Amino acid sequence: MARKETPSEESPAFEDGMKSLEGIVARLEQGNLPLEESLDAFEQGISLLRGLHDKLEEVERRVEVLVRDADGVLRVRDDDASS
Amino acid sequence: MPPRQQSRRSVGVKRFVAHLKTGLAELFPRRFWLEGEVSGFKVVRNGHAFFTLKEGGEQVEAVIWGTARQKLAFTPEDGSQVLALVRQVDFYGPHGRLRLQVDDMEPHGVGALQKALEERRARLEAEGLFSPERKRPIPALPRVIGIATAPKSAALKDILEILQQRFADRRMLIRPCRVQGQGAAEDIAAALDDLNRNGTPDVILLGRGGGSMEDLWCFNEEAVVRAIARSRIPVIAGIGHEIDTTLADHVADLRVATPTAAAQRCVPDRREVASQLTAFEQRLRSGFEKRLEIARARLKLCDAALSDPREIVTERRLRLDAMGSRARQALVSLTPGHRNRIDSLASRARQALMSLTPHRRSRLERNIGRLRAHPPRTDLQEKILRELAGRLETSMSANLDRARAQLAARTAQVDALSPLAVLGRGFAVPRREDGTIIRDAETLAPGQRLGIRFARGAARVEVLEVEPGTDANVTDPLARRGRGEES
Repeated sequence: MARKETPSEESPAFEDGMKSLEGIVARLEQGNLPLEESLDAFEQGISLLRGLHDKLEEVERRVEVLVRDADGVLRVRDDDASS
Repeated sequence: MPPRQQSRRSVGVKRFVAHLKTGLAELFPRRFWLEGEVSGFKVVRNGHAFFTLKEGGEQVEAVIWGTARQKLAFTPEDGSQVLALVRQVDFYGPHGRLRLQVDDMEPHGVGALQKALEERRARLEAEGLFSPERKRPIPALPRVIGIATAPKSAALKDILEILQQRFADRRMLIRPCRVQGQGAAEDIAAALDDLNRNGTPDVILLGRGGGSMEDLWCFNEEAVVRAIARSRIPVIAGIGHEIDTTLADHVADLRVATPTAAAQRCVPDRREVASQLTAFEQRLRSGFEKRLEIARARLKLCDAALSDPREIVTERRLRLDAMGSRARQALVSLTPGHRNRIDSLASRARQALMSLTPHRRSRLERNIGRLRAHPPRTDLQEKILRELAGRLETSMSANLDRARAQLAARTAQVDALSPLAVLGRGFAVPRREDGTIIRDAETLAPGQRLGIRFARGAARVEVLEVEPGTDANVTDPLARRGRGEES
């Protein structure tokens, strides 16, 4: 069987972070949050931004190869030739 | 003459034909390509086609069965130069003729190739495979990028390099396949199907470097076109150079000139993403500022009606101060490596400390210590963040200063309007025994007991007489002026 999971589970994916950030900004922009909560949202947004900037600078790439083994079963293995 | 017959050795026609067939099978044990010109191509009712293949003055008869004929990429005509894939050289008994069984045919020679291609293009177009409505949108930021191309090729190297330069935080799943020669079309189609079966890619790059028209020919094959059409995952085709256009390009969801361009189109440049983040940061900042503005406006509504406005104002002020310092902490942590800025912040903070209470001073000292503890960061990010954080910090502190000044002014106003201050000017407040303030003498009766509050102390008194006055004979000049303005 083909492997479904991606190897990047250790931290939330970039687009998830972007989505959360978008939600926080939208909530804050509505202007009806209690003051304490808007500060929480602001801090949370800043910390998300920090994580996203880190991810943006990431240089390590994950290259995998999809192959059929002798039984014709699809397998994913790490790339060892093309990198 | 029977004796003579006995001495001769003979075979029957049937056996002879059987021998002939066996001999032909031994002579041509495998399929082979035969080159020739088609003549007398005729399709009969059951779908089979009969024709002859000629060269010069020689010719052989041939047949192609209905199923094989329907799969032909072109319609052979009289005079077509073809390569015919001969499965069997057969002697057909009922007609007494040699006959080739043909499995497949291809046009032979460049002109014929082009003509066949044009025909195929028209047929697939009529099916609607190239129509714009079929194109699926390319995701803006695919998590997993499927790549179908030749292993260890320059095209693959280019694709991987571009993807890494632009935005490395992606997963790339390569399905190596042949992109040239016999069987390439089937392999490409299988690669696309495999990537779909695996299901993780959000987009597929189908790429091949430049080459001759023959080299790129597999991208014109129907197998490839149909595999792209049935792919659930959007396909970006970058095949050959700018001028090369194959049928795969027509059917792909996005066609770009080269494999490099396909990779570029696939993920955004990290600078674009950085500017997106910047936009978010600005919205975050202005959203929070807007909220602070609302808080300030609410604070203005505190007025003399409050029992002790100063207490509330002081409490609000402390809260605003605390929030301001939390916001600053958050911002400074965004650019922890920028020592200079932190140092200048720290020295500004130290100046401010001179005028602060010991409690707040030690809190600020702790914050500065925390800021210094953060490690330095990369240049690009730091440059962007430094600017943003600087701007944010400046406007935040300006706003907080403004809020503080407004609060001070407000506190003075509140003091002036305080009931205690009014009493200090010689006025007194009469109350009923239940504590309600008396505003109209007519509500009183002789003998009723009242309390009077003075600037200093209070007294309990009894009503002797009630003078039910109209507003006109109120002697307070301030009150009269108030009436006059109203009417």
